[in-house]
Amino acid sequence: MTEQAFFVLTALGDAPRHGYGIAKQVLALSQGRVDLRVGTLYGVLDRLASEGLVEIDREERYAGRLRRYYCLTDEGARALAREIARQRANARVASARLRARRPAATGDAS
Amino acid sequence: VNTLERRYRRLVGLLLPEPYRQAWEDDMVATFLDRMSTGDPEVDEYLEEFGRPDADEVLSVVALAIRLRLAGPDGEPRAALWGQAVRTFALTCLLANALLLPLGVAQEAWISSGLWLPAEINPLGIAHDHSAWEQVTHWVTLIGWPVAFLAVLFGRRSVALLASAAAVLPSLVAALVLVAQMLLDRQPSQGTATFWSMLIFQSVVIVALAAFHQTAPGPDPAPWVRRLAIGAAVVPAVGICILLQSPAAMLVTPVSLAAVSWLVATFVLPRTTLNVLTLVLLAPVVIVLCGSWLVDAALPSDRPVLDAWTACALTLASAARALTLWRTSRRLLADEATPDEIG
Repeated sequence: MTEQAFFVLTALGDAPRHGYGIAKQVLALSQGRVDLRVGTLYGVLDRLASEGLVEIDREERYAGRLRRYYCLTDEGARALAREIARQRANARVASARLRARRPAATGDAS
Repeated sequence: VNTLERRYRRLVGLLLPEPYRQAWEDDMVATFLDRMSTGDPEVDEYLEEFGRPDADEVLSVVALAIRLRLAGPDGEPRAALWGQAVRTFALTCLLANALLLPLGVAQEAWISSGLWLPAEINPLGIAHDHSAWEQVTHWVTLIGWPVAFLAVLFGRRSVALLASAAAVLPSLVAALVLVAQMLLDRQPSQGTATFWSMLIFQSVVIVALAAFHQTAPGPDPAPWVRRLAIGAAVVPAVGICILLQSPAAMLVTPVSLAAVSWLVATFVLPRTTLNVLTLVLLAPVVIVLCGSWLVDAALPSDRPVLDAWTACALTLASAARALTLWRTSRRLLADEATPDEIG
């Protein structure tokens, strides 16, 4: 799962959101690192929709335009949970290694 | 509909395929306009009338268009076919350029070994003829292409892009200098037709690398490494042949070798839609290179006429073959669009 897809799924984790809402959430969740332009956002959204991880929740009229809201499917929630578990396991292994860090001269050759 | 919306719709309409636009365009426009909105009515009014999508927004739509039109295997079947054809085209061109390295190495090795050379070629002259800068750019070009080829094979897209850009940079700088000279001195360009056509060809290859996007699978390296090995075994002989200025060198050149390989491939390869599309994409490259060789060989009167005739024959043969393939590709694509329900 790409970082962009991960953040889009995370942005939809708690509630359905429209396109701009997702982009704003992704920017905030990634602490300003991932700024999804519209073409990139819809590239990710259409891929996630075709994989059945997100779907259209509803459409609402706002300022004379239709806003489409997207939500996480059950499969999407499971995929996000799997990704969280994977990242958590990676972080655990890396943290353990870092805690056990010794000065370079005493390092194990293997 | 304000000007900003019209401009964004025009961009999307120009680049994205119709079925995708039907499903997503209105929502993309709504999101784009939300993004552009500042909350200040005066600024928003100004932007709606005079604003336009910035470079990053345009690039994101371009990238989406490439992903959709040159799709991976999961994409729309026709787009997946074109995607595969452009990726094979790009790899074939990278391979052809990469083979200039063993050719150059063989020539250098022959010269430095002190073996026989025609009287008019002075090995010391060759060694000292070029400035250090020319030597560096020569080797950057020769090494850049194989690096780019291997990087694509092993999924390092950004390395491939950097290496190929580095390889084409010396020619690009030389081209800019030529154009500047032409504009300032009002003298006709000194560049040969082959120089200009190679520059265009190599730039097209770099653009075609865009087909190796995130959702396109990397190629299977094994057959391509095999082709590289076979090519690397054959081209040193060609390089030495050119160096010795034997009569055969008039006929056996990198361009003629590429053209003959392409012609043989058009007869030998199975007539699958993918093969035919790839050969059709390669056809302009072959025709333009042969045509440039013809212009360069035919113009100077002191040259033997043999290579002009060869270039002429290869240009005509390639053009005729390309026309046949073009018709075949249209028929095959039409057949795929209306599949036989019973079959």
